[in-house]
Amino acid sequence: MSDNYDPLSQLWLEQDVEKIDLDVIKKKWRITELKQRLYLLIDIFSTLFVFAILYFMGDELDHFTYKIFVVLNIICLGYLVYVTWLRRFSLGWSDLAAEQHIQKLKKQINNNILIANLSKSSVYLLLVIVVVHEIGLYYFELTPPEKLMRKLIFDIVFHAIALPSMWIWADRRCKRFKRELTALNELFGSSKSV
Amino acid sequence: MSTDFSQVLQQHAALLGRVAATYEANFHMRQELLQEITLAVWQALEKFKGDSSVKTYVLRVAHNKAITHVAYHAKQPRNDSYCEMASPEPSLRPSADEQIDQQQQIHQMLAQVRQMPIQARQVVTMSMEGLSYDEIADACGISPSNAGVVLNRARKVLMESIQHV
Repeated sequence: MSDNYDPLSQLWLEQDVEKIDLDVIKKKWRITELKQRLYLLIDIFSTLFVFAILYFMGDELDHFTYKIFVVLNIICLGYLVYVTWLRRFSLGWSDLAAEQHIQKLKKQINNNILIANLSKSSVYLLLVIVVVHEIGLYYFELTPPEKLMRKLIFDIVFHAIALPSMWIWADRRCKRFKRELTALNELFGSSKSV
Repeated sequence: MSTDFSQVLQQHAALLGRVAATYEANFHMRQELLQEITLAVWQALEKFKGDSSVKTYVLRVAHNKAITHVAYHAKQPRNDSYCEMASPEPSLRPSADEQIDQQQQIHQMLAQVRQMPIQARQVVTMSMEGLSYDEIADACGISPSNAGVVLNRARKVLMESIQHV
């Protein structure tokens, strides 16, 4: 099929190619490895942070705030497990047959869209939790009015910046993954024949 | 990076460059893709079980990485650029006229390959790299007879394209 006298193969093998710089590859690998470890640390610390508050400051928290933190903890843990499960196909390489790889790639992009939508939804959920917390503190008279007012102002300012930023970031990711999926479907659903 | 993996990568460097050229016309994008492919192959080599030849395995991983790259960059504008390429050894070079003709044929062939659907692109380039029908079918996840049909059509198109140069 492809002996040395095949003109196409000969021509193909004659083409000039760029050289591989292994030092650049090594550097890229070190950065990738560092990033992967950093993401893992962020995921672990973000979950442990709420646990740590409950464990170390549980006695100082009023009963309502304590319950809010327990709920938040359960949500965070559930979110972490679900997102990790959704990311199960996102390996850096694949040695599957091309057809299977494409299916896996589509599945992972769909999962990425789901993660991005989940991040957007978590903004609303976080907003609800913050509002419920503030109302609870006021309703049960758990914080002095002056302190509650200062806390309210801080929360409004902080969340007015943090939550929209988080939503915009998630929305951009969602749109990007949708573009990728469309491109993939166009490429492999192409009826163009050779 | 282990010495063995470095050796395997060096041995297949030209092959990886040709896979990158199959998917990317733009020089800088091609360089980026080549780095991504090399990194993927290097990572994958650690898990190589010897079920196929190293070349088939490397090609499979490289093409998969290229597909992922294409999906990610498909909507971005690009242009053809063939500058800054490593040239073959002077002793292997044909005469100037022959060289120009050959470069035009390669240019035409690559342009034609990049216009093909991904599956045909993979089948024909793997064939030109010397893989058998069975190896191509295995790497692409299709039947050998299907690989044969796709390959014959693609070769016909490529032969016509280089004859018109």
